[in-house]
Amino acid sequence: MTYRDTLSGRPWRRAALSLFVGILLWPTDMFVGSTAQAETLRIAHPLGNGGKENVDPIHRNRFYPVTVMLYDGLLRPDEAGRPSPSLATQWESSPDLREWIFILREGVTFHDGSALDSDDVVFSLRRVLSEEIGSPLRSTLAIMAEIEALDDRTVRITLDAPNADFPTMIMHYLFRVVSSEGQDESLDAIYESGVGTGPFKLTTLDAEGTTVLEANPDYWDGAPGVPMVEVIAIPDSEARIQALLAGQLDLVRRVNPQQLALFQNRDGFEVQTFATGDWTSLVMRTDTPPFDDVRVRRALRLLVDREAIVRTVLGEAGGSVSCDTPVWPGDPYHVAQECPPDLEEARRLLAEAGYPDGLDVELHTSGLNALMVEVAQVYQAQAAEAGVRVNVRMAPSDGYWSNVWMQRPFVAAVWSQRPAAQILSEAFLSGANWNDSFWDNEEFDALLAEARATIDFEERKAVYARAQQLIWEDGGSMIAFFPNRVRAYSDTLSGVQPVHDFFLRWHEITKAE
Amino acid sequence: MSILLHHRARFAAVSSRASVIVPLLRVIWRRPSGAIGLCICAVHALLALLGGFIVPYDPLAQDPTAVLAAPSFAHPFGTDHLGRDVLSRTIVGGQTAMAVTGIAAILAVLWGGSVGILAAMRGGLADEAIMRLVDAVGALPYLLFLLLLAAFVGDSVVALIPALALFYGVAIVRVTRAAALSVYSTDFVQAAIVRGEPVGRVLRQEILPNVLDVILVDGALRWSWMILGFSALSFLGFGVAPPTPDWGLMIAETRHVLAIAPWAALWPCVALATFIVGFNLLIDTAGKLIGVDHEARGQR
Amino acid sequence: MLANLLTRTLSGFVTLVVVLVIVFFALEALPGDACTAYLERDARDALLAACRERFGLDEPVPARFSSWAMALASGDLGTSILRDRPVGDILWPRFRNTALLAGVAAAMAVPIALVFGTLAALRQDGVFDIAASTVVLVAMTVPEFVIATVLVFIFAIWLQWAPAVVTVSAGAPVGDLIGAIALPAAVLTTTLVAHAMRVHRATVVEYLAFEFVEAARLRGLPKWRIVLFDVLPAALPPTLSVTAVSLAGVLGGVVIIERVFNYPGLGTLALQAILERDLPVLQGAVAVFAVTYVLLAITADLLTELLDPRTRRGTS
Repeated sequence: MTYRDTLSGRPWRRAALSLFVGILLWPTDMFVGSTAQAETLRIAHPLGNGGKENVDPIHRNRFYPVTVMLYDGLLRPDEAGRPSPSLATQWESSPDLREWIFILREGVTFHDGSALDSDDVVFSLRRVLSEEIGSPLRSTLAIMAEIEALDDRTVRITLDAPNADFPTMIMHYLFRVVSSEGQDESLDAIYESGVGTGPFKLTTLDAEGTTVLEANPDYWDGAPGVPMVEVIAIPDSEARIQALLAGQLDLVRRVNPQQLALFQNRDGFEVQTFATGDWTSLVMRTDTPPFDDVRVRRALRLLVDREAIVRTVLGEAGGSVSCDTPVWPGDPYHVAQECPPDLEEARRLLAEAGYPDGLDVELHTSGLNALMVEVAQVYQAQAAEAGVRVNVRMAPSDGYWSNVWMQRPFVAAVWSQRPAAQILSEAFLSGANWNDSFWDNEEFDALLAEARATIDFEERKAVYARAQQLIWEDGGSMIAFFPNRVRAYSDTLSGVQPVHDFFLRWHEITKAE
Repeated sequence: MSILLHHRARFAAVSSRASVIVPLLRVIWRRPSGAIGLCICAVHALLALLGGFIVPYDPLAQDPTAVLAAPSFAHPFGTDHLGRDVLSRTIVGGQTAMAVTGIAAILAVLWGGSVGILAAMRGGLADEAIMRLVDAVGALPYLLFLLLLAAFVGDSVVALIPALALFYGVAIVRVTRAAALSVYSTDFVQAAIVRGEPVGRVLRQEILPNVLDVILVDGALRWSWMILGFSALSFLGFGVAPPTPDWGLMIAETRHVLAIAPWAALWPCVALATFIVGFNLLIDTAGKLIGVDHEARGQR
Repeated sequence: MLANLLTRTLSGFVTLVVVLVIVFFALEALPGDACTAYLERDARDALLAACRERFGLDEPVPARFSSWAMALASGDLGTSILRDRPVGDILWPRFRNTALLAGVAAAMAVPIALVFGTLAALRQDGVFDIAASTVVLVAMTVPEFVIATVLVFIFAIWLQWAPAVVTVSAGAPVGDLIGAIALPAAVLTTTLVAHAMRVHRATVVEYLAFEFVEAARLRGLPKWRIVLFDVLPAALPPTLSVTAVSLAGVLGGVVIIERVFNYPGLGTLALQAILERDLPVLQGAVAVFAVTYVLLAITADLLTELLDPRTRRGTS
């Protein structure tokens, strides 16, 4: 036999090829299928806290997708986003809006069988104020001066100033009632037991792998529709989508609008689009030149074609245009505004401010959020038409919030949906912790105080409207839109309401075989 | 072995650089792999040089009405996630990476080559110290090393140059040292040293000619891999900053629509792959030819 | 021989120390620290100071370096800054997982590389050689995350043969991991085959030109016998040793594969540790990578020295 016959003959090649393909594919078809039961609801979480997740609902490292299933708040939003009963069935305030009384639901028990009473609520509220825990909720609820139990089912909260919107603030998705039992009266300890009143109980906690929850059959709002929930850590957003498409997940909470087409020609999936109040801003520091000149920052906001940004960045899912206010259309205090691009006026203002030939600005953004990068790029292109040369600089995502945001004069930022009563004081009130434009406007501050102390809703709304108009005229944040969010899920699921994840009623979801 | 090397030294030393390159190109052209490599490299070089003048659209211009548009007459390669023309971006998409990594590769060859030869000739403690440092950098997972460097230099592409040069030069130190050592320890070089020939002359006449082709081939190949490393950095959010058109960044930026609008990532992928494949074919053939030639002369 | 091994081990140890020192100061030089990473938007003023005090980050760099080095010298890898768990506990399961992935990939890659590399070398510059070389170059060139995405869409989503991502925990039994490893291992194999095959082809080409092959042919032995019994055994050690080294190199980029497939390995842990500025975890992970690299390099050297026919034939 010659060398030629053996090695270059066809059988050899075919054998080699099938060996190659065989080795590549051999293990693949053997291991498909999940150990989970068919009715288990499988969702993913992005491991936002990198494995440090705990089940303390108010903690910075809260395991958020899990805590919302384990615990309930006092109030929850109804379809229109207004406060509605959850663990509290009634609430009312004193005429001066400083004292608030909450009456608790009867017959609610924790996962360990103990009954919910007002001590648990007082305990949960006081923990929020603990410096040691350092909850992100602390600054929002720091207005609570006194918290006391009047009887088993009645809690009284006294505020340090009148606040008509206190129910909205207590409805914050982070505030959840935990059990005071066995907590040794310590307000500073991290709550680690996972015992709550929520629709699901904790079985296995493994933030970096798969966390398992089982249904709480005694849930006060009806037994959950699925017996088990698995929360699987998948940090990469593309990997989450692929896992859903491959049948390893039942629901993906956030899909990039540009990926809608992935689901359109595919059987077995539902896509849901709903409005949110999340926003992406380009923030100018109003205390730093050239943005300390109101004409400059007004010009830089006037030149924006918000409709075009929405079309480019949000694609088919769309969203609603904002005129630089953080109050979204779903908020009771939202007021309709018009803000078409006005390049001429922008150029005129710039010339007046001493920049007849336009100006150069440096805009810092970061890959920690895709929208931050895309909005910055579209803004750069639009600004060029008004003679503003924007130099987009990518800052490292690590340390962005401490080294760039609220440091550099012009930066991109992302925020999640917040009620007007909360966000206006959190990020626009002068001297507020997260006032990232360093905006200092006495008139605005006075309007906020006035609104809080106004009893009548319509009157209050009018005051808030004036405050928002002031942001448009004088503020430093460019907020172009509120994006619609896209959620995708297997069509075996039903009962997925088109609301923000914060307020999704997980126990109403059912899964068919 | 030593005779072989001696011949090789003479061959390389006698022929000056310029008179080598033209005949070499001619020989490369006669080999199929060399011809393919040469063509691909020529096309890429032309595009990189003329890119700015021949693009159909401004590579940065966004069209909100044509986001992720499929390839058409207006946009032969389609548009990306911000409605930018993929053809135009692909044409100029290699410039930044090639320039940055090109300078870095030259720096890497210069410092890696000198340090490698130095280590081989000095030996002893200096050699040992250099090799431990080289080993240490090699032992670091390369992506983590690049990430650390990239995070350190921030978003400035220019600042990445010394970082890349430092990292890729380390491998060149190793290769050069090995090549120089094998020449240095041969009988005729040792004999020259014993004869009392000045170190500079030994270096110039015996060692440099023998290691130069090794360093150049290695440096050239490493350059093409550096471009790949660059794209991996972009994937993880470092490297070139948007909106600069860059192959690696274009692929990373449109990864989320890979299954919907594959053209947005496909063309930069093709550009990157053809460039590296073409360049490798060219350099491989050139390297082989130098080897083949010296073998032939050795046998004669 | 033994002395050589000792020297190698010693210099490997020095390498390790240098690596750890580099990483310490590199992480130190980066903007931000564990507290700014942890506190995000709240990283300012009193909260930041309190956090730094709690984790001992307010001490000067030299003091922290010496206390860290002292602990390490006594065999204490330390405690993760933010996770509050011993580094060893976090590290080992993930090391096991990455080792498993690499092992499976290497086991698949070596035979493929041997077969195809040999075939390509036998017909140097033939159609098969050029085609194979080109495919190999393309496999090395296309970014891993693109190969990965394409494989996921074909095998996990379209054919539904394999899971798209790994959903098991880092500490899961090996049996659970094996079921999910197919696609990540395939991507790693592709890259590895590319490296190993290139080297193997070159080695075989080189050996075919050697005198002993020539001599054997003159003795009238058929070429397939020479290839199978002389050239291949001789070419195997260099191929294996280069595969070992390139395995170490490929592992340096394993973080991308791990991220795309959600694989609970060492690479993602190290990346996470960089982002969180969690020095003890990063040092632990890097140390494991470095030790692996040193061991693979020593193995490669030993293989070459023990089995290289040139050295063998030279001495005998």
